[in-house]
Order: sequence, then C-alpha cells, then structure tokens
Amino acid sequence: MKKTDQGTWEWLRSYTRDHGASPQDMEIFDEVSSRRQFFGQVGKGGAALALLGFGAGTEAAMQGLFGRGMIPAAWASEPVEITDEQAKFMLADSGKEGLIVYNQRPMNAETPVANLKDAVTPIKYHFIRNNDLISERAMRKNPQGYKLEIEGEVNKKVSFTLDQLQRMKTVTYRAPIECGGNGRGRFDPPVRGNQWMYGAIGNSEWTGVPLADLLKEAGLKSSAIYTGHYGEEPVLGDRPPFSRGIPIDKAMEKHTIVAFKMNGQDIPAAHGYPVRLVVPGWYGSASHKWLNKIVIRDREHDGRGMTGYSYRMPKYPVAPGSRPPEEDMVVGGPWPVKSLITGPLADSEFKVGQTAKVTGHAWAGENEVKEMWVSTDFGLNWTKAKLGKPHNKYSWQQWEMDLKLPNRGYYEIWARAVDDKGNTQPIIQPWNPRAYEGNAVHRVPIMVQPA
Amino acid sequence: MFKRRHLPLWLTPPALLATWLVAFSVPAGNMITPAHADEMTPKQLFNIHCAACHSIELPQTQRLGRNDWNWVMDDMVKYGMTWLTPEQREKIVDHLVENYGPDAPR
Repeated sequence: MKKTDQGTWEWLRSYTRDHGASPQDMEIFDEVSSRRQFFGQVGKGGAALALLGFGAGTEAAMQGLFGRGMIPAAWASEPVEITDEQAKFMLADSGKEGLIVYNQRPMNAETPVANLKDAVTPIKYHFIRNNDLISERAMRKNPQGYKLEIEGEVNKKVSFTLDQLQRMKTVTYRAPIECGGNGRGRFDPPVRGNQWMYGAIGNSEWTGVPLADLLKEAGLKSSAIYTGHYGEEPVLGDRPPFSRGIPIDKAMEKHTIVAFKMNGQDIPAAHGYPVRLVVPGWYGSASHKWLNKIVIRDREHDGRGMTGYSYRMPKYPVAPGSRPPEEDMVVGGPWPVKSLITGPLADSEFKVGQTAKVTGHAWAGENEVKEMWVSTDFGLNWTKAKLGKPHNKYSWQQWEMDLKLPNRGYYEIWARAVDDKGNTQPIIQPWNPRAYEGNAVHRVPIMVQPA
Repeated sequence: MFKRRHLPLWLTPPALLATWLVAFSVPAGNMITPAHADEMTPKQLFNIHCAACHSIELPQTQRLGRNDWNWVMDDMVKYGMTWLTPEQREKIVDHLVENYGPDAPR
C-alpha cells in the first residue's frame, strides 16, 4: 500500500477489496462512496473507514470488514452508518453479518429471514436486543472479579465465580431466544417500540449450569415464588436497572440455564459475556444478559420490565389502537406457537412445472409443535408438511415439503403450525398495546412464470 | 461533587446535551441558556434532547399518532428526561407526529 495514495477513495477501494470484499460488497461500496464524496476528501486510514462506519479503526478489527460492515438500515434507502463505539464493537466482536439495525444505542438489530436457515443459529446471525448499554467487562472480555450472587428468599446467600460455574456439571441445549416484540412491525395500527419483523429470534446452542442446581445450593425458602434478574450493564437515562423475572417453577425447570458458552464459544459481548440466563421458549427479556445477581422474591417480581405495559399483555382481547387500564395487564411469559418459512424467499420466481422446496422452523413456547400445514391459496386448502422432532425440549423444529407449481401466477406460501395442545397461529395478527407475541401466519409471495 | 450513579459523568444527559449544544453552532462567546435552546427548530430539539440517551433511529423507524408519541414522551420523562420545558416537549411531539406519524412512508 503506497502511503501517498492514502486518503483517496481509490486507495480505500483497493484496501477494502484487498481485505476480502466480495464483488457485491464492492458494488455497495461504489454506490456509497459516490454519495459520500461530496463531503470532501476522506481522512487517513482508519478515519476514512470510521466515516463509513466500518469498525474500530485497527487493521485487525477491519479484517473481513465487508459482509458485516454494510448493514442495511431498517426502512432506510441507504446503509446506516454505525458510529456508536459500543455498537461497532458488538458487531465486530461477534462477526455479525447482514443484520438489519433498528437502533445503535441501545443496540437493536434483527436477522433477515434469508440468514435464518440453520437449525442451530450461528453467532454471526443471532439478533441483538439491548435495553441499555453493555457492560465494561463485556467490552474488555475480562472475567476477573466476576461473580453471580443469589439472594433473597433463600436459606443462605451464595455466589459463584466464572471458574466455579465452569467446574460444575454442565448441560448443552438448543434454545429459541425470541424478543417478546418479534413481529411488532406487522401490527396494525403500528405500535411503539422496535419494529421487528421476523428475525428477532435465534436458536443457538447454549452451555451452562441448570439454574436449579444453583438455587438448590442456596436453598429455597417456602416463600420463594419468583426470580428477579440483574446484570452488569450500565443503564441509559435515569431509571432503575432493567430487571425481569420468572416464576420459580420455570426457574427450576432443567432447561433454564446459567450459560457461559454460545455455540461452544465464550458468549460474545452482545449476547451477555461472561454469563447470561437462557430461559427457553419465553420472551427473550427473561434471559438476562451480563447476569450477576438473581434475587429470589416472595411475590411476582416488580423490576423494570415487569410493570405498567412493558412485557405485559391485556387479560382480554382489546380493540386495535386502544389502551386498557394498567390493572388489566398481566406479565407475559411463554411464546405462543409460531413458524417461519426460510425458503423460498419472498419474491422468488419459478417456472410452471417446477417444484419448490419449502423449508422452515416451528416452535411453541412451552409446548411441542405436532403438525405443520402449508397453503398456497390464501388459506382455502392446507397441505401437511413433513415435520421433524425437536433436538431437545424447546428447540425449534425443522419442517419441509415439496411444492408443485403447475400453473402460472402470483402465489403466497402460508405456513401454520399446530402444537400438542391444539393451539395454532392466527391468519390476521390480533392486536395488543405493546405488540407482543406476534405470531400471525408467515406469508411468502412468489411468482410462477410461464415455462 | 458529582456522584457516579448508573452512567459515567460524560454520558449523563446534561453532559451530552452540553456537548451537542457546543457542537451545534452556538457562536463562540455566547452563553448556553434555555432561551437559546427554545429558539431551536423542532427538529433540532428532537435531535439533541432525544439523542442525549439513545440514538434517534429508534423513534425514526416508528409510525405513531399523537396519543402514542405523547405516551412515549411520558415514559421518557419517567426515564429521566426531566429537563424539558412544556414548550420544548410540545415542539418535539409536533415534530414526531409530523414526520413519523402513522401515514408517513416507511
């Protein structure tokens, strides 16, 4: 690299190409750079990349910067510039690719359906939903001085260092972690909050210690009925720390774990380094990241995120756009039955006579999915798809079917799961004031052209 | 004098607000007073006050009516946005309804 060339768009272009940018990446680069050039000449080296929002500014951090650097902004016509230091760190640290970023501070980003094909969600494709900042410890990856405390309605207060946790008997489960607001973007009228569409869910593999084992060491008093979770993350604004909880039965369920590995690796900063809760099947906010304290309560927990309208559902169906009184809202918990079509992708084109392979996942909170149905005529007729068993309780299940396409025209592939309690998904999304539990049937439009 | 609570001092809303005010073209030598702040356009008020705690893509990606934007603002006040005058608040809500209302293109 010739020093004299630095500071020109041509230099930056070569630099990015030499660091592994794909031809598509270069196309995006050319589009963005032509738009940016009127701002004047680029700065030198890292400064130029920082202008475009590519990373922390060191060569090492910029390795493979494309693919994760250009992130489509939700609803925006051009890629968002990631300028927030923590956001840049989080995306680089977990090698994120192609996330749709709704907000940088706090970081909120979902995975496009195209990247959700895997049975085990790779770290690079796991969504991020933060309520506040991330901890200093996670930024530095420093386990020194970490401990998890358990107190409240217990016989003895106990604490565990990371080392102690790692030396206990561990378990590994695949678990869907899904933001309670996933699907909010499909609510009508629109509801406040991140406008998640389909991808605020991941089903990664988590390794840790069952929470029940830790609670047994502390000894639960008979008054223990609920947990309250706290983490090391600094709070945005002047408000109490984010703190949700779960009933003690769910806390004692063997798949509820205090995790320190994600897909076999140390948990990335964005996902809760060094330790987080994994409460499978429930709103993601119950799976507290950067976890350092669990308080056992003698009543339903009342931390931030448990009261008012946050993560709460109306006791009865409400009219779209209305707001029931606060006392008619109850704490949300398990997700209802839901499914996703991962292939074909929306707006795919086929020729008459072709067969489309339809694939997807299905999951059902506390239940197991028993049947999967597909329609291509707006719900008039449904055909049963082939459905696999969950890898372990709670893990999402894979389904598929071969769809013959004998006639031309516009079709929508609809997918509908039925769980072992007979619950199924609504065609039209029922409404609630904060748009939780969005589980309306996923609809994928395709075109079939004459052969 | 200052006691660290949840945020490092430079991240507290007043500190960030001061940074923004300085960065945004207050002529040298002028004191930053609430009177100056009130002369800002609704858009400037929105950009500066809301970004004190969070980036503003979050509101920008939402499409809400006046009642809902007021509901959001009520919560922001509870979350510590206590320094706004009623006039400033009204201007910010106007800006939100006008630009990020239910009918605004996504």
